[in-house]
Amino acid sequence: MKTHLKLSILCSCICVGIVSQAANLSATISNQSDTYLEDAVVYLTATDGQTLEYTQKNEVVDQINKQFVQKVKIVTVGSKVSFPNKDDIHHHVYSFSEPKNFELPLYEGVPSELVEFPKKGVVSLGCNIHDWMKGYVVVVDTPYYAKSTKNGSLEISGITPGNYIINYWHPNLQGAPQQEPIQIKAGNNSLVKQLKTKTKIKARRAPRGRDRGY
Amino acid sequence: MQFKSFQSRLIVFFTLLLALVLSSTFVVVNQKNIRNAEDTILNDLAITANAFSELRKSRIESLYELVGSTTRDFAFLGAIGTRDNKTIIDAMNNNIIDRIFSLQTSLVILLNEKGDLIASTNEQIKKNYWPWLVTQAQSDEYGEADGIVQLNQVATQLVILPINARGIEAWIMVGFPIEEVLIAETKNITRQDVSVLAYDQEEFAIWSSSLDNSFLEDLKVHVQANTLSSKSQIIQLNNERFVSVNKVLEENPVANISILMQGSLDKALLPYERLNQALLLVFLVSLFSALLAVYWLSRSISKPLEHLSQSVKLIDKGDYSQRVSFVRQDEIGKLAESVNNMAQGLAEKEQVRNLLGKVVSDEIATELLSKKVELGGEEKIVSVLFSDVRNFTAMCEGAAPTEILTRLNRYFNKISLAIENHSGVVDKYIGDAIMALYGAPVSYSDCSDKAIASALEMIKALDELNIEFANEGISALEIGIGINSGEVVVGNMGSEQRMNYTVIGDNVNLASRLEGLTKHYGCAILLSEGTKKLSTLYTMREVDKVKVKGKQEAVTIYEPVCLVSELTENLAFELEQHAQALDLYRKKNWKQAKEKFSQLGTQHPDVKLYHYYKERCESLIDSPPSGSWQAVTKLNTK
Ligand SMILES: [Cu+2]
Repeated sequence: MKTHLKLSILCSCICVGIVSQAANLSATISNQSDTYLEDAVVYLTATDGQTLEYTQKNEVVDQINKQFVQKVKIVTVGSKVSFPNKDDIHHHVYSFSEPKNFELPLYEGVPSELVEFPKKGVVSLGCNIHDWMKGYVVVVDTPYYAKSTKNGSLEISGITPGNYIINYWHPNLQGAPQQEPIQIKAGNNSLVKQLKTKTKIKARRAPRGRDRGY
Repeated sequence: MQFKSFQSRLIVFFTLLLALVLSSTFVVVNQKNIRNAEDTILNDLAITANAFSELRKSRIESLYELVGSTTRDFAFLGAIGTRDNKTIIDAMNNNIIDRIFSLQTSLVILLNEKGDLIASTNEQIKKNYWPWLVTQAQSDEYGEADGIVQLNQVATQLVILPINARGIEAWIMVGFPIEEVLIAETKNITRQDVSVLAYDQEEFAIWSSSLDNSFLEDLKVHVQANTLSSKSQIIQLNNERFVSVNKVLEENPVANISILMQGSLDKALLPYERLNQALLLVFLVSLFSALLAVYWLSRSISKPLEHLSQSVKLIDKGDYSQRVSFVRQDEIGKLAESVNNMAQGLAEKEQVRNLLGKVVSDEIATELLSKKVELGGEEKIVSVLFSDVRNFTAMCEGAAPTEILTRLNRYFNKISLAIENHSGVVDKYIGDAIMALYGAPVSYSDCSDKAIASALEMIKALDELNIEFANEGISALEIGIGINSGEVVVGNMGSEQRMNYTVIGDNVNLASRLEGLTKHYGCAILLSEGTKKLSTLYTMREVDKVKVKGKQEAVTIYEPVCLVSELTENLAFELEQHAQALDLYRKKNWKQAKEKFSQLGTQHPDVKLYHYYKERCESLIDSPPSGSWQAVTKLNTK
């Protein structure tokens, strides 16, 4: 992780300084009520069936205090993810999502096997012991991706200028990512995007307290 | 007969009145009973509707909870996660229909997040027939919705809720048959039949019902006739009256759903029917006893009234001895008492009348009884007759007082008869004297003639009595009679408590004076000038001109001789001679007068008056009067 960070800093220095056609994209994501969205995922994919080159990596999604840390994790297709349990109780991580249906039955510590995500798409994570534990692994087939911070901003750098399809996703978006074409010019590109999120259906807890109008 | 009709009128009146009161009471009570029965049914049906609603609500809540917890079940989610249709259907059958057996779920459907059909436990369902339910759930904050639909010809309660976990975004829809679950349960609790009525904007239809077919068929007829739209009404099912109530459950895009409930009015009225019968019996009994009471009451009035009326009729005919015999404290008793008192009073009055007739004459008695008896009188022209026994003392000689009274009464009987025979009225007896009235109280224009006739009969009657007395060795009676006629005051005199019917006035006194003169002149009867003036039937002989005590005017007095019709020539001649002699006497030609009176006295020795005048003439011749002599005799006798 640390080496990767250093590398990218170094790389960007070179690109800005030497490679004249290198570009970056900064974006600010909010919802329809102008609230900045955290954990919004933005990635660029190639147009017209072309493929972009990307690398597979081994990634980690921790479970700390009965929560997935990094609630949203972006990985490239074919990457492997480790789900280490940092709590002193068992977890039972699983997903029934279409791109990856998997299960890590009750375990403590670091499970022996890594979970490979061979298909792109959104994989919803859960724990069979703790209903409220929710996490997402967004599997992408591109090297250009980022997720927003608390103030809704994100930046993708080292992009080869050209035409792409920009993909937006957020846990509250529900359903497939939104797509639209985008032209990335050399240098700095920026955009502001409003996503139409849906209010999440509330979990049913106290039926007696509800007035259904009978 | 009159009372009989009074009785029947009373009976008819009371019967009608009572019948009216009772029948209106009956009608009011009956209507009130029907209203009560209806209210009871409506109340029961409201309870039923409430039970149905509560059951439905509780069932739906249970489904949300139990199905909701199932949809978080790892194994169930895993089965869905296989995305294998058969696995999913088995999981739904196993996890929901079988495991939540108590909820009697009959149908489970899995829909994707857009609402398209993924899998169904019912093979006949090929797609989502109820997308509106998904739409409703999407707009619900908990993602839940429910609705009533028709599935396989029966009403089905559907519930939809979301699956939103671990990469599965879907809707799960479950349903149960309303008839087997809600209607049957409601009937268990309330014993009331319930039907589900649906209106799909075109026609009404019964989707489910717990009613027996015989009732259901009739209900369907009403439903098809579209007559059950109002909230409550009375309908006929299988020849039984029902109160039918319609309560809306929901209005969904497919149909307006309501429940129909019926309560039997006839059954609810059964206890009231018994009450009605009891009431009818009470009414009949009270009507009958009231009739008896009225009959008895009317008889208790009419019977004594009849009795009274007969008694009164007899009393009217003069049988004053009649008495009504019953004793009662009420008004009729008082009436009977009054009738008795009246009869008693009448009897007493009759006695008084009889006695009165003896004490006073019949005429006066009638007069007294017919008018209000009060003090005061009126002026009338009457003839007053006074008669007196001249030699009463002689008659009394040597006789016991009772014997004297007996003789006197014999005399009075005869005399009274003579008076009454000529409409005279004995006014009073004064010792041996009688005072009689003619022309009062009943007025007669010929009162003078009546009095004269009466006086003549009295003389005749006395003669007959004297013959009887002579046979008994009793000395003969002599009487004098004076008659005056003129105006007198007639009426009741005395005090308020005790009064006499009598006459007063100068003319009464004169009659008495005339009587007193009879002895002097030797005449049995003396009449006044007034009597002579009123008389038309009798021939009279002038007796004298006298100045009586208490009177300034000289009055001419007469003596009746005979009826004019019976006047003979001889008698007329005699009277002529007398008149001439009297004339001579008055002209102071006493010698010639004496000759004539002497002659007359010789021819008619029984007329003492001729002798009287002969002597008077002799006396005048012997000692002629000094000064003026007016041929008026002054008499101081009473
Ligand atoms: Cu856990």
